[in-house]
Amino acid sequence: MRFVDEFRDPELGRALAAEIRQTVDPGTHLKLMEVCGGHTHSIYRYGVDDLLPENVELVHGPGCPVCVIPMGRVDDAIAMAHEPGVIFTCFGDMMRVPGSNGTLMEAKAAGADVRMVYSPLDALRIAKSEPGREVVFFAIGFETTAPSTALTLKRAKAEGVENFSCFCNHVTIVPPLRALLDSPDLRLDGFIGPGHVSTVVGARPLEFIPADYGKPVVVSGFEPVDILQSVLMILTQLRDGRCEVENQYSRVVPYEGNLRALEVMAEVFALRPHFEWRGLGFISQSGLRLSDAYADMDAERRFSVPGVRIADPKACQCGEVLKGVIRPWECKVFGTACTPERPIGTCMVSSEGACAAYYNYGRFSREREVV
Amino acid sequence: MSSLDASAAIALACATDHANHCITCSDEGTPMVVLQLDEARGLALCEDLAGEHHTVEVALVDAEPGHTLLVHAGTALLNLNGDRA
Repeated sequence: MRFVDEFRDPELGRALAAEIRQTVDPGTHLKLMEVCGGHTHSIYRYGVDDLLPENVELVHGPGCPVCVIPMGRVDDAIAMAHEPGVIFTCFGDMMRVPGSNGTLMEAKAAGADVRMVYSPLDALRIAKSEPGREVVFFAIGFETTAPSTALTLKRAKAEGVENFSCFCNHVTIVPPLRALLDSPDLRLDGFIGPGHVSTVVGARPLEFIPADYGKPVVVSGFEPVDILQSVLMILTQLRDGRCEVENQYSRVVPYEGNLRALEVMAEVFALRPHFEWRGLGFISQSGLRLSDAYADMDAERRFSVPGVRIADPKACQCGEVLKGVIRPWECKVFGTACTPERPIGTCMVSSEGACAAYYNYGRFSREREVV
Repeated sequence: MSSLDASAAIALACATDHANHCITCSDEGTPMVVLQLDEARGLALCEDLAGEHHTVEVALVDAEPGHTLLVHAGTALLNLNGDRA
């Protein structure tokens, strides 16, 4: 299969692993963060970290949008889902994310009309087929997903679909990266940059990392050979004393991004002054709301929601996992009280979450405890 | 078997498509081939690697039947038959 097979070639992977060993200074211990959940998933799925020398550690970043949704926003979603006449639509993973009093799946079991969709367009289709009901789409995701929501809202407006609204939880990638780089409890030596987010925003927004923080960034594809090559490119920069944004995924990522996507996002969304991230707290200008032109389609204006900030469960260490301070299996409840079947924290819900990725690929086993 | 060989074996055994990936993840993109265009509505009928058909928004790319698009959450973000294919 073009674009895939050549990037899963084990011989190429072994050759890159050998080159990585030759390139890295054995006297150093390097921490490289893979920003997005897609990379985390691939690393565990293919055992990429087993091919790396012991002194090159991959740290899992905050790029799984399910994992960074705070419990209070899930509670707001559940409150909307329970409104009379509402059909609440969301991506599948969001149905299992625990709020302070259950999940959307449990709300559905209790009688709320919660439906899983694969795209915002599916949600709009439901709205058009059920004109007597209010249809809310739970929009989450980084800049890769935001254009899809934006186009659907434009379409709904153009077609005059008045019973469709959006609970907007879109976030942007740069502010949390800056927050991580400013965090005193984390020392990182380089970044494996997000591949498809960069398809939309381009690689240019990542230039602040080398410019302001002196760390190399390599925008990477998702196959194992992509990730190994990106690690090698970062190590080569460090060895040569260089520090810049490089694009390993140039077969997909245009350095300038997709200008049409950026235009439609600018029309439909506006920056929130701040937004809460699970484990990272409130980050300035990191979340999107609907712009004034689309305010009438904002579900937060159409429905009354609790809007309460809920602290994470004490046992859950998702915040430390998301910041890369601890690795998934170092969490107190990993694989025991918290499993993909009964997640406590968001990192165990999404298959892109570091904990679920690690758990699902059998990289760790432990006797389960009943709590 | 060394851990290196074991990892290579895993890599070989996992040569599947992206079906295991989370639709919600912002960095998930799936290649799909355009079967038919509905230019008036800005939509395309596309086929994914597993042969399933999907309706895809194509407002952000220039697409023609037969082109391979990178699709995320029902929207084509890139035409892989463009300059960088």
